[in-house]
Amino acid sequence: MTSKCILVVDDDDAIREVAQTSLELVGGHEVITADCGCDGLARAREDQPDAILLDVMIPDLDGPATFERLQADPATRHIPVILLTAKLQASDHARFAELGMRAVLPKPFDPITLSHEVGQILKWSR
Amino acid sequence: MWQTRQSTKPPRASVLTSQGPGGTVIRRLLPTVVGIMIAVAFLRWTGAHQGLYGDTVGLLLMTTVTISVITGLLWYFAGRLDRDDARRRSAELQLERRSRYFDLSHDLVCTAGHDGVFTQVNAAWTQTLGWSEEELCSRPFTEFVHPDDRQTTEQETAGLTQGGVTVDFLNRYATKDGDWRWLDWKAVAVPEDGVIYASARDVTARKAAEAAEETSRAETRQILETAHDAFVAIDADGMITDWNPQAEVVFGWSRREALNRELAELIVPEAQRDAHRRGIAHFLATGEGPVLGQRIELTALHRDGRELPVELTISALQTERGHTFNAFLRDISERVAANDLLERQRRQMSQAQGVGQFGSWEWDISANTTEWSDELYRIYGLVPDGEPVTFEDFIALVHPDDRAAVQEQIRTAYESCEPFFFDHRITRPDGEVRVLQARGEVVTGEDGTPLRMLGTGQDITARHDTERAKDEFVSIVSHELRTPLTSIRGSLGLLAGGVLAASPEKAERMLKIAVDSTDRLVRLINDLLDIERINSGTTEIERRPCDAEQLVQDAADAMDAAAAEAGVTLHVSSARVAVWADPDRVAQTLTNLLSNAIKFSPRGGRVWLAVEEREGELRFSVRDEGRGIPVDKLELVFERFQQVDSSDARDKGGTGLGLAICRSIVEQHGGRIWVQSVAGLGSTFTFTLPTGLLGAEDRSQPAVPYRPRILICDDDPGVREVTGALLEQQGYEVISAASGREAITFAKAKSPNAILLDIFMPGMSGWDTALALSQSPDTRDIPIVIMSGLPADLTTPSPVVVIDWIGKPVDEKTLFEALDRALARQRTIGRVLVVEDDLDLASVLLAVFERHGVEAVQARSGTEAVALCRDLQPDMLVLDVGLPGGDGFSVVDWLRQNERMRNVPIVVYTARDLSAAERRRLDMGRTRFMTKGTVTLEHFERDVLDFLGAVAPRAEAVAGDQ
Repeated sequence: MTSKCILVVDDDDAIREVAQTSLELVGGHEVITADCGCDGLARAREDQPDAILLDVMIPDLDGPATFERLQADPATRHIPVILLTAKLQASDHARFAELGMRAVLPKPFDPITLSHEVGQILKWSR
Repeated sequence: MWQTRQSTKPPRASVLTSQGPGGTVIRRLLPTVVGIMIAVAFLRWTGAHQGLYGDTVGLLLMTTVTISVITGLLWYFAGRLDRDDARRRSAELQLERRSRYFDLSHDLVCTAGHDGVFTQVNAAWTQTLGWSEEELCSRPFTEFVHPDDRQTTEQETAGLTQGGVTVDFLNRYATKDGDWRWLDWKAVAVPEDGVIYASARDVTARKAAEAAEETSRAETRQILETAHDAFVAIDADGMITDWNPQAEVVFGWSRREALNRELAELIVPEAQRDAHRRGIAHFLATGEGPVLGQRIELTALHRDGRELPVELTISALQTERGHTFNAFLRDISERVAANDLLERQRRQMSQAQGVGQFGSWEWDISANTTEWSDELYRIYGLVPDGEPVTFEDFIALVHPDDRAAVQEQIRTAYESCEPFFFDHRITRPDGEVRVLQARGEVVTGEDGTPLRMLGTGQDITARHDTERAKDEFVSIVSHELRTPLTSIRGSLGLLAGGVLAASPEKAERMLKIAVDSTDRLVRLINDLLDIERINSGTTEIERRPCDAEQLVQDAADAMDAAAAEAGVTLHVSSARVAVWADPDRVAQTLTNLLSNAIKFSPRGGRVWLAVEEREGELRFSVRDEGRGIPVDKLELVFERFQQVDSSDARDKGGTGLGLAICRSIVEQHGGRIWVQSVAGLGSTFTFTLPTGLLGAEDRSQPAVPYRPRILICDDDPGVREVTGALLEQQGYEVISAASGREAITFAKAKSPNAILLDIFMPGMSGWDTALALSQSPDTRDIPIVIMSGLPADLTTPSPVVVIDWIGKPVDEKTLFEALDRALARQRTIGRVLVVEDDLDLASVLLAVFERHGVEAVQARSGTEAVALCRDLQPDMLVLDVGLPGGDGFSVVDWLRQNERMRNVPIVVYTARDLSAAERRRLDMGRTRFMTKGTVTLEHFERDVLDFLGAVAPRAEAVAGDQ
């Protein structure tokens, strides 16, 4: 898989670190991080990542709100977003799906296969 | 010339003008006679017929006389003729008149002979009976009489013929067409003439009327006799004139007893008698009777004195005899009782609905009317005024988003006739939204068409909200749990996947992440369980007498390290106040608050912990100089998983449950907790605990008090008594010895925790005693406090461990201080027994003790533990409760029995949660409880060593003193 730039937005330090390590060491991608919605928007605009892994429960703007802003901004509209969530309720999943994300990945995730899954969802060629 | 003389007879007109025959004659003849006379006279005068008369005068005279005589004669006879005629005519007229009256009379007038035959009958006879006059007069009249009346008729007739008079005699006469008619007779006889004059009146109608009336009366009588209702009639004076059998039953008076008694006296309750009488009087006077003619309910009196409710209708009648009042009365006691029951049931139903917060409704489909119970109105926010609620009204109250669904449900139920059950929201008129649980059933007719629908609506808003809150809680919790799990899974996955072989630092990072996240998870789960247990009451708060100062100090000590690390200074102020509380839980609360305060304080900041007594309660407050809490979150922070800023929890390692747990604990103690804060300047968390040693209901068994045993040795009984009393008052257990020898015996047998020793005693002096004690292994370690009148002489090298020297008379303060010191340094902890069957864990624990220079021995079972206790007499035990072969409980039981070991300090370190009862069983006074898993090893180490320190100084320290 070609190396991509992925933005990970999650307020939990440990999760950010684990995700980053996974994507870097297993997937060989470049990873940038943000720990809240606003930061996430800023980084997305500036660094134009190839994909965004977005947590739902983040401070300031939550995941869905951040996603809306990303879609609204022409500079970031094109960046595909995958939602990461620990929320299990089917109703929540349905809501997220309606918003137009590429996919919803549950937490906990398997760090070994994370990159592969992301690649599959976003159809990155090997 | 002609003069008429008025005769005295009935007025008679002049003959001349009379219409009678005389008149006719005179009017005809007289002119003729006069004519002839004039003719003769003329002839004579003109003719000279001489002869008869002589001269003219004579002629004239002759003529006049002749004329007069003839006229006179004519007149007389005419008159007589006329008179006769008139008389005859008159008689005829009278006869005719009489005859007319005779026939005109309705009455049957007749005459009869004594032979019993009618001689004359008037027209009425024919009209009435049909017989002709001939028929009636042709036979004896008795033949027309009814056979049953013949005898009386004959008797009556016979009486008449003898000169009697008949009045009001009745008999029946036959009519021609075979019927009978009643005749009422008046008759008189003229025996000399042999005539009976009689007049009879047809009274058939009257008789019939009488008979009908009699029948009618008899029928009425029968009705009254058999009526279900009581019938009572009274006259204008209020006296009873009629009383039917039912009245006898209802009121208990027989007819005979009731008649002619005053009604008021009999059946009207005393209180209403006047009103009753006045009512009658009023009606008689004014004709106004407002109660007449309508159904009214009154209370009446039974003969036996009880009152009964009756329903009655009164009517007034005016007859020739005066006014009567009739009434039909009915005893409605049963109906009233039934109504009362119904009313009571209705009220109960209404109350039940009120309590259960559900209302009921019924829809009559064909009539399209609905009926709602009062509670249903209230649930919908309407006034229960009985205003009918149409289907449209109802739908308008349903929440707009649910309307379609509700209508669909009802329609389906109607069509399928199946019961329904669903929830929906309503919007009350005031705008409030409530959630209702609706249930209903359809009642069908025989042919299956729906006739009625009935159902209930229950306000389940509270339950709904609770369920929703619970769902949300579950959602949040699962989220919270998954977050650290994500880190664990992720980090360990990477490690396991071999990806990090090339980067050991990264690997170490991942391990640390795994460990920290695990810890976090453990904390979270513990907190969750804790709060659930506290809230559901599964964990009993074990309250015992505590010292507020102690609690505060302990908490501060526990947080010292953390404060130092964060660069925060802790300021503590306290008061020595007794409080009835669970010291562990209060400590937990204080530690929590302190921990938060330290967390949110800037480096170099200060945190204050204070206790103050106010208005009968104890206020603990923790103040920090952190960034504060916004006003709208002051209440919210005590909720579960609420953080001022969601980033806080993750960064600072909190679980979001700390304050919620604090609140639960405080509330379980009957106190309150709140926070005051100014954003940017800091916050003050305050909680209260009720003061006093005993909470109102919380007199659960006080924990086993730690009663140190003190041996007093003094030859003076007074001293022994006074000092002994003083010690016992403070909770010590006292043994007295009167001599040194006794003291030694007791010390060996009872192992006191300290000895108070007098110096000057006969026989063995205090010094000698002390020496003897020091020589026995059983007693050498017991601290001694010398009581002596002599000034302290510690310079003399003494072979024994003398802790203190207090002068006599014993000053209380000095005494207790000395004892405290003595007990604190009672023995060195040289040896700890670890009772734990898990070898790995045991080795870990042993290592901990070893590290601090404390000898530690392991027992793997209860039995082994007991044996080792007996042999080694350890100074402290670390006990796992769940052991094979005699569990921890029996170890403790054994220890309690053992004289030497009964006060040994224990750390109960166990994996499972203990119930309150279990804890009591294990509590020997100096007992610490720690749960594996809740407590990290470091924590354990720290705690146990604190405990060790509290219980006894470390071996080195003691050695150093000596």
